[in-house]
Amino acid sequence: MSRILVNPEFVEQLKEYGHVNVNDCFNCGNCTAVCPLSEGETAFPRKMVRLAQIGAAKELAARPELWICHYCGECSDTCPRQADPGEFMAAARRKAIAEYEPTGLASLMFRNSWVAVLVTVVLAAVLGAFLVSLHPEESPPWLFSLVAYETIHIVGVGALLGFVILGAIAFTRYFTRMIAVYGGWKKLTSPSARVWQATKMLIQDILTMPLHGKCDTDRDPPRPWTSQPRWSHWAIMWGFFLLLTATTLDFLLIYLAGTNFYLPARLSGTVGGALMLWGVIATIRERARAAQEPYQKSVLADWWLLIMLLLLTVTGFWLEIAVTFHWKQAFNDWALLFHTAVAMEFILLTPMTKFAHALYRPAALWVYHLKQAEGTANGTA
Amino acid sequence: MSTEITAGEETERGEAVERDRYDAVVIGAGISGIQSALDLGDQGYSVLLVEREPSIGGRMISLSKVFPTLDCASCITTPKMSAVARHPKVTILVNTEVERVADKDGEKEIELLRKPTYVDNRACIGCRLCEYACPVEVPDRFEQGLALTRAIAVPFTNAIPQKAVLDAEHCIFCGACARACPTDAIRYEQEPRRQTIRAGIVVAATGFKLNVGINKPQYQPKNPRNVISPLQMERLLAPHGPYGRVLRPSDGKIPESVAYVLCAGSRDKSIGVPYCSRVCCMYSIKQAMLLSGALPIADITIYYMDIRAFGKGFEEFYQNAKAMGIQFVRGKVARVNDGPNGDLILRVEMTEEDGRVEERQHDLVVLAYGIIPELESPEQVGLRAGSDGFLARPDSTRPAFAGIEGVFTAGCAAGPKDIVDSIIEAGAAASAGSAYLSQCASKTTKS
Repeated sequence: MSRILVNPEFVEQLKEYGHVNVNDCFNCGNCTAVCPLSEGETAFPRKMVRLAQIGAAKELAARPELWICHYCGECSDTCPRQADPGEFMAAARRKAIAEYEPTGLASLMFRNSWVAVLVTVVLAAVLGAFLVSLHPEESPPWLFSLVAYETIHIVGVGALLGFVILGAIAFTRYFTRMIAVYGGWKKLTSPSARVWQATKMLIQDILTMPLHGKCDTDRDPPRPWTSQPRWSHWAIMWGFFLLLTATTLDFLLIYLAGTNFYLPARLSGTVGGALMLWGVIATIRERARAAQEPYQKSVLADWWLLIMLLLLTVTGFWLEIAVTFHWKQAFNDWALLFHTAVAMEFILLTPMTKFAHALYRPAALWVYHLKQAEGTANGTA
Repeated sequence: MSTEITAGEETERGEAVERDRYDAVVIGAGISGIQSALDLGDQGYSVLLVEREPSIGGRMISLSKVFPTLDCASCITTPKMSAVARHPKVTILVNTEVERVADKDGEKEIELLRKPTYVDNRACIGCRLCEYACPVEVPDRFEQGLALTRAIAVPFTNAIPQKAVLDAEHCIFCGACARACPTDAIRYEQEPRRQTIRAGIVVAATGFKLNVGINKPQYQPKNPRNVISPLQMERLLAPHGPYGRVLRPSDGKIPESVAYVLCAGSRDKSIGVPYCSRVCCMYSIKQAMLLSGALPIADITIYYMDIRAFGKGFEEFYQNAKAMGIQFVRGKVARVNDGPNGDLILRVEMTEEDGRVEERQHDLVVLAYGIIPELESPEQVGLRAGSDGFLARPDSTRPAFAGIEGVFTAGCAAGPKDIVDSIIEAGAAASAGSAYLSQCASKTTKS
């Protein structure tokens, strides 16, 4: 491990990213032991707090534990010093996102909610203007009077490309650093049986999020599944995947291949939209209730992202209804413009917003499972 | 339906209230109150010692041994209790609560509520025949609920006074005690009485209690019978304790693995007790030592955040415990979960090792609850509270001064402290009190 210079100023920097109070921590270990996700050597958040206290910024940003935490808030609820380790973890995640993405936008947006609002509005406006500037053909079919069908696909591919480039840079920065913290690729992946084991566990995590479910195991009284963050989070994630699939299928089957085989895209889009809608509404509801620790610290940007996501989903459904019932209205075209511009913006901004966890969390979980597999291998040997 | 009783009347509860004015009223007859009363009485001041329980002696009389000397607690307390009970200048009122302390004509006026015991103390000879006759079994408060006593009973073996007290809440009024009593001392018709006393000074030695009922779900397993308080462990360890030896409450098993969870109810902002209770580290070490004598093959583990061994001989005591093989694990226990067969599983981060989380099974767990004031709202009785809820102590150069002229504090009433410090403070309160009294006397003479 590289040498770490003690930097007491780091906590001050971190405070710009959230309600950080970790200098009050006296390292009793309550947070780690109360965390349902802390098991054996994968123990957090106290170690992360310690890293922050001594100012080991790079090490902290590289730790997979940041992304294993789903912020159930129990550590903050029970912290004897009210040092709020849960909120600290959230702030450390924001700082890590800002550190890895190449544009510097994330840092600005996380530190000031108004910047986040401004950036999203301006970018959406620029994208919208650009979409409109690519004039539709002479007599466009209804719905596409403002934005042409072809334009959507071409610009969409561009946005996706932008995401891939930005995302790849951010991800590579994170992944190489995380692997280095764990003693290198070779150490982590031998014996190779571990790799398969960890990959299997990762797929399971993505399919049903069992780790996130653990956050609810110790709740007394238990909550109905409808208000468990695991399932709203799951719905948003799968909603997003299915909607992306729908767009991709539409692009491949109809635009590129020129077939009329629209059923798979429509089906995946409808199911995805429904999941997304429920997930977003459930999240907004829980955040508004503010019953749980994490949502007590909501800032404008949190609400803003959720509202944008809700508008995106609602306009998506609006358009689907309009298309299905051939419900011709001038508003449809504006809805399409809004929907397209904001959707593309979301894809482009993913590495710079809290959605960047979609890049980091799978990698962190994979390494987490590699470590766990090592533990069991040693245990049997 | 209360009736005033006048001074000079010999009450049916047996304590002659010679007059309605004393030089000093001491509230609480624990070790601090007893010491203050003795110190004031020895200086020639007349003292009224008021206790709300049926016996004097306070918390200390129920302890097994004291740290760091491992002296027998009752061997120290009983002579003090006896001395104060026989002191010519000290009058004791048990079963009596102080309802209000007020200023009147430069003196203190103290309103007392004398609770009924349903026994005529002039007649009761403490023979316990009523206790043996009573068919109703109730949890024994002196044994911290670990044993049963009867609805009419002498509070405990070495209680002072040795008078029976009837528990009206549980009594079925069957009359068995009245038939058994050889001196016809049972008075079912007794009523509470109010009485007003005037005094030159008040010493508040109202003591502490443990926050056992604390709202911390992480420490509340579904089967909590083997999670006990340190005061319960004191009784288990006492030679005249409820079982005569150390057994765990749920099934009488001899514990093989005992855990102490320190800071279970204090140094914790999340439960509203941010201060240190000051004695838990040491009594846990003491109990662990006594346990390793009582249960030579048991493993004893103390989970701690920091060991605060700050008093004279404390650090040596701690080092001795370590040398004796008592395990010390640094890490705050985050959860006490149910284990198999009534055992408990503690979740703790090994903060001094690699920081891994361990789930450790123990068959008896002692939670070191926090020390909170016994007197919940001092303002209601005319005393001043500090920011921590204990009695106020506004002036660091007058350590026993309670923020109201003529009112002094001693012992845990003003904050958690050990027995030695409590006794020192009781002396300080008596000394400050006597200085105040003599100043008042000289003022009166001048004028």
